Amino acid sequence: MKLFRQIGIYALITLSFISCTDELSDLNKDPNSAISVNPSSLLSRAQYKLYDRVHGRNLNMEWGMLMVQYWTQNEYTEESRYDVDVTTFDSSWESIYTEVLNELKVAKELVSAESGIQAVKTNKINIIDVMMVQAYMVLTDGFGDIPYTESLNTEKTLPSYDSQESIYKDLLLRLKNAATTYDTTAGSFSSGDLVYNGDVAHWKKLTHSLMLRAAMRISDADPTLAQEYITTAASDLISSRAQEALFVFDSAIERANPMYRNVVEDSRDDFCVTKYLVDELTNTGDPRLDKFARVDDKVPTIIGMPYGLSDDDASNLKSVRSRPSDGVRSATSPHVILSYAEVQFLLAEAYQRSFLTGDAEAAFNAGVNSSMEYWEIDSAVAAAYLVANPYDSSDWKQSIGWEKWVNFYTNGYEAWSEWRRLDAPALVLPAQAVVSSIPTRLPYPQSEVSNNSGQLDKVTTSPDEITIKLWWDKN
Amino acid sequence: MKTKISRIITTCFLIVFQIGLAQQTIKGTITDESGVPLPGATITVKGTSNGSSSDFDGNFSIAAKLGDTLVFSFVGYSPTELVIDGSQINVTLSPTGALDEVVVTALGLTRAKKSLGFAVQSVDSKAINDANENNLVNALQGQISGVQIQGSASTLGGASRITIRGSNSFLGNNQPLFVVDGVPMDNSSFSSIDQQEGFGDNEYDYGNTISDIDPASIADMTVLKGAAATALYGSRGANGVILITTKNGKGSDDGMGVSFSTTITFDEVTNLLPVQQMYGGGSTASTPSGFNELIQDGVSYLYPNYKKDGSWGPKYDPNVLVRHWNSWDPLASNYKETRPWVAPANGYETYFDTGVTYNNSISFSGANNKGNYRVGYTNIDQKGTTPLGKLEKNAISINSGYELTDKLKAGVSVNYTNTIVNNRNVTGYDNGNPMQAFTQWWQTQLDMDLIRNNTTTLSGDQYTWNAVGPVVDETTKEFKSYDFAPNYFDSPFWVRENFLQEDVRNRMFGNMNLAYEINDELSVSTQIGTDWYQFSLREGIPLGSVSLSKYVEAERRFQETNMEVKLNYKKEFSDKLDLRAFVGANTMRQVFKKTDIATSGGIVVDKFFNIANSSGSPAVSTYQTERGIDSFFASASLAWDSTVYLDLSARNDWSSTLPKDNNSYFYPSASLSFIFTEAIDLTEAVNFGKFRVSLAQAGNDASPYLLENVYEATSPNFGSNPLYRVPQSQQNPNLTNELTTEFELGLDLVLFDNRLSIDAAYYDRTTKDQIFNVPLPSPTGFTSRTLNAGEMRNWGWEFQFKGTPIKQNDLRVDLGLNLSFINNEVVELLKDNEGNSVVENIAVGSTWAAEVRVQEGYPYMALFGQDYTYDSNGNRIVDADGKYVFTSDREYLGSVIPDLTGGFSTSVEYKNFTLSTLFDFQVGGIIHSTSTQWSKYSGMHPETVAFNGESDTRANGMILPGVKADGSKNDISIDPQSYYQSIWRSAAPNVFETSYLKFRDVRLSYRFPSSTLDKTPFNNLTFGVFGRNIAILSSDLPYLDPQGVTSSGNLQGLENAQVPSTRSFGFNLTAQF
Repeated sequence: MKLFRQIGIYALITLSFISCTDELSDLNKDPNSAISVNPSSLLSRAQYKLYDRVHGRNLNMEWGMLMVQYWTQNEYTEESRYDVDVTTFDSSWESIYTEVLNELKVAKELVSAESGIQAVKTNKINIIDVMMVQAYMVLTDGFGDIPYTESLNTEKTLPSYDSQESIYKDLLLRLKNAATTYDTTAGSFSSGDLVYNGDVAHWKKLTHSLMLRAAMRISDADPTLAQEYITTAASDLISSRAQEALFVFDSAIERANPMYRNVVEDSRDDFCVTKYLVDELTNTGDPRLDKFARVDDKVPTIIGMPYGLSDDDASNLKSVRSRPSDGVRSATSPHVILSYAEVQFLLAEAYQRSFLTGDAEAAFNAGVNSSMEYWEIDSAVAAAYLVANPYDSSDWKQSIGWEKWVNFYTNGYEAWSEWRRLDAPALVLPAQAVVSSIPTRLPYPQSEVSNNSGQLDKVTTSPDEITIKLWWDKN
Repeated sequence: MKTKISRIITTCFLIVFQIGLAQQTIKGTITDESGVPLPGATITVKGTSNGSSSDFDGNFSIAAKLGDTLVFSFVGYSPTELVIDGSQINVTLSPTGALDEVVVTALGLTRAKKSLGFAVQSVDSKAINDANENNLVNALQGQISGVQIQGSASTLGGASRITIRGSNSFLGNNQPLFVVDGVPMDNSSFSSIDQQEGFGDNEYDYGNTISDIDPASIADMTVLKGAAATALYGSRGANGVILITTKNGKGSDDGMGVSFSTTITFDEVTNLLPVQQMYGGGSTASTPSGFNELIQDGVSYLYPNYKKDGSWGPKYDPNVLVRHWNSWDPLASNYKETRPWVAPANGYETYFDTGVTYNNSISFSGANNKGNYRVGYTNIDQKGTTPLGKLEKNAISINSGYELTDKLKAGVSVNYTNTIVNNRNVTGYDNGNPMQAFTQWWQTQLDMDLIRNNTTTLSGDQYTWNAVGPVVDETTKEFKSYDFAPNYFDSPFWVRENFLQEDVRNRMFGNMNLAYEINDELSVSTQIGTDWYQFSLREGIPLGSVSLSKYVEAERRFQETNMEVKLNYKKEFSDKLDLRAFVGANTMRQVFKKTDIATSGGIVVDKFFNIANSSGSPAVSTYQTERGIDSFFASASLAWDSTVYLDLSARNDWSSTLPKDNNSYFYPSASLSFIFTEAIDLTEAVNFGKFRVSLAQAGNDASPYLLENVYEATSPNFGSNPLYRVPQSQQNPNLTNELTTEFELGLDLVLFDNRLSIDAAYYDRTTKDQIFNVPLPSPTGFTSRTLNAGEMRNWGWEFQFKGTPIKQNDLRVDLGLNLSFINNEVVELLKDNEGNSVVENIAVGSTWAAEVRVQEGYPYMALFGQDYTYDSNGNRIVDADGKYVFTSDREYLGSVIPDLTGGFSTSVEYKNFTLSTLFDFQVGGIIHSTSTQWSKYSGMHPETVAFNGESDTRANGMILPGVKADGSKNDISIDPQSYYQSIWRSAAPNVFETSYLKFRDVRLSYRFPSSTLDKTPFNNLTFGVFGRNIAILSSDLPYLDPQGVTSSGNLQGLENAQVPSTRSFGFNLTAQF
């Protein structure tokens, strides 16, 4: 019996392990994640993710940079020939909604719940909202109609689509709300803003400048509304290169410029500058060409590859055609969010089209000079270039379109939008193209075709069609 | 008292054996019908716990009194009772067929198979050992009905996948639970989703951890298929349970028995995708010759486009001399050498080596009437089929049982396995996996010997066939320089010689147990078991590769501990009514921790693989999970007159992963079997007949940490700014348990004087309220949310036939056939309150052309992609260019799960010879082959030069069978290159059925007769020769292995750069003395 008692005790020891249910739920406290964070760390990630996307392979290197024929693929030339499908942009769509917009939405909620000075909170919320406007513009400028009013709401598990027209109207309103409620005497984020480091006055100027860009984008579709916002925007624009909005990538490779990562991390060598870029910039004597393309032992003079060749033709020319320069593909080479030059080109157009009163040619010249300065061209060389290539008000679309095109080099996605709106410069459809005109829209993602088809079907019957023109693209 | 407890524990851990003194020693020999001794048969004195077992000569001794009854039993033979009438008893046991087979069921209960109301199946440990597979899962191939196994056989420590009665969970674990001596074992596979899809960034196949179990230590293996059998294992038993009992000490107090086995196996690769040998690699230039041209030192040369990874080059012509890839090293003697443009003497298949595996095991064991012990050691030394691949495994197992008193028994079992692997295979679409080049992006004229012998230039740079190549002046054609940098692919041998991959896993598992008999009716038993491993791995890429250099160090640590206590009750109420019951409790705690450290931005000093050599700040990440389940359970078995058996069981779990107020769930089971041959007189042809029915449920909990919204840090920071994210999957504080319900009917028949046995089962299993990440359209801000939703149903038939058509003095022929018909449907994913489907599908994985979905109304793992379009007569439609017209949407192309799987075995014994064979097969299921897709795109596939009976289609064009838009027969000739390079986004041309018939195994063994061995120290000496994975006799998938997978994860059906399967031949010698 003594032994039986021992066994009983042994069993009880075992059972005592079993009966602690409190200990059970303690096991489920996640040691891998944080329960609370500073909203600025969500803002940082959203900013990095957005600009990394817009500058990255999917939207820029293999799309924007190709659509406007800055670059062409020197092997496996599918995208150069517009051979894409409904799955191609899934990752960008998903990333911008779930890694940019949702982070910003939560950051905004966290800021709202903070205690502190109201003016500082308002400034922070405005900054977050302007980030959200940029992200939505990237989406709608690519896809057109997108989920907007019902987006970022888990109650709406099948969010409906809004028309691009209504989205633009609301985005302009949000920019205006932000622009008019900044308090430049109060602070904002003390850390974590990777664009202006919390400088409210700069954010206010960027907000106005974005409003000018957005208003001009809809100027063919809704000139009246455009006029209203252009007028509002003009009051406090980015007025010097020092105020430009740049996103400077980090030197650590994981956070470096995606063009750099493509070459160094992924060891890809997929792109040559186009014959069009090289020939046209040579024709105009543009000193920026040397900054755009690379000269090395293998290809000692800049020579472009014809755009959109077949796979074999491109491969056979690959070793004797020029690559993009190392400068545009360095680790810390920035993504230009909005430059002073762009503001001047937008103003030139606004003056030319009488949305505002002013000297179109002077603005145009200021834009070219600023662009030259950005690319580190000597001012005397820039002046000579302007003499040789003056503003032509009779063909302002060509003048402004051309200079914007040159200025947007590396930001292919924005260049593609402005090329669609201004229809300049005149790009030629390559013979090997698999569609009948240069694409003007992104195909909707497969994830929406699979998971939200009821809503998608209401706005398009051909989600994979890429030559449809968007609402603001009138000609 | 304290000292006594510690003594008990000490006794458990030490191997103690002691010679007991007893009444009288009875000795004897146990043999089968042909006089072969039966080692390891058990002998018990009826009505006592006194027992012994036979040694390797079948000899036994046991202490008993005259007039006691001895019960002799042995797995696969009918138990026999004899009354002791002297000190010497010789017994002959007869095989049972299915009649009186004893099986081990849940929680280690030994039950007569005939009493069970659910499907179980034992696997002969001999078959497991004979298979000589490093991975236990592969050894089960073709042996069991209801089981599907995938995995490339014998690849160096690679993963294999097993499911029993299909998959229950959409995204969760569908692998069965492995239990060794009552201890649940982890079977993780460390593969990413990328890897399962056939992609990944230099990701190695780290196998699945169940391969740590040493087949040589397995005494018995039982597969519990249905939920009725598994309810007692709780949640994790719902996918079926594979119960393994390890060998324990056998023999008598005659002394120690020694058993030794040595096997040598040779492996060679099979199932390689061939390359066409009419045209060479590269591209065709617009020059007259089709080659690029250059002038060097005044001499004109032709050179192929080696930087292009494909084979659309000029046609072979032995009269054309060209500068091949290895003629550019200015220091080499063959600088500027030209050679003919011809097919290679050594194709890519010569890249592979003959793998050699040495498997040696030895064990020592002994027993007396108080206790037993066994110590086993196995060493496996494998040289892989890919160059420099190496695996070494050492396994030790110690098992001992001891009767401390008449009432108290203790047992202990400890297993330790150490596995060291170097240069595992990289899987999928990656430069590190040579199959990506060989099957998808290769040049047909490449000679493997030249590649093997020229991995570096004489100045030490990598020398790859796919170099960026010559720099030539475009107008003068003057040669300027040569760029040795790899364009897309490193030299496959340079990769093996310079990449680092090594891993070590130490695993320890075992248990100790005590059982105390309170009285004849009541007993208490308790067991503590643990499974622990530490897995360390190192990976490195040197400078100069197409991949960025790196060094990674990772550590995985796992431990699960189970403690269990059980109170057992048994009573014979009358001659006819017998009750056995128990109640018990179990507590489970599991901890997993991983640490990953990696260089950032590459390494600085070449080939110095150390974190300190990181170019940027190294990235460190850690992750850990903990979970626990506490349970109470109860079971009762009632037997009536050996005719009707009723089993009832119930279990309640409390899980740490569910919300505190909702963490308890209960599930019962019931089964009934009726031996109708006992109740009704049937014809004599029916020896035994049983009908069985069962109904059971099994609950399941969630993964850890799904309840609360959190923020995740993303590494590295941006400068000094931390980057936090909101998880893309929305958490859910209201989760409840999943519930699986299964209904099963079965029939067992033994016919014709035990010559034929049939076991048939029908099952229908539904899992509801699945916990899974329900996809959300990403505009919601999330890609998914965790919910209880959905329903999946599996149902099917299983048949097992065993027959002995011939049984004469010297000759015995056994045949076996098992068949499983599998059906599966995703009944529902998520419906709203009005009953409308809110979520139509979950995208599980995809490649360029195909995707695998879990879609409502379709079988699990439905493959979607663009299909051909057909006219009303079923002809494929072509467009004006003569290309097939494909559907614009991705259509359902079929399920990747087969409709039928099975195995057929034969065994012929003649005198001392045994010849056995095993075939296995599957019908239905489809796979998409990305290798085939790119092989066609890149001009390597034989179809790119000869199609549908047309020869040299590159010169002559080809006409695709089909009709034009107007319905007339297609007569439009199309150029293969423009065709294959335009249709690769369409899945249909590269989708194949996975039906196959494989000749899995053949074995011839010879047992030396006792008369010969009498003069030697050996009791038993057997020599065997065998072949494994001999041939695929029939398959719809051209060239490749339809069973290939890259992990044991759920995702299947997407082949991409499959690591080739192997065919093995070997010799085996087993000795006992």
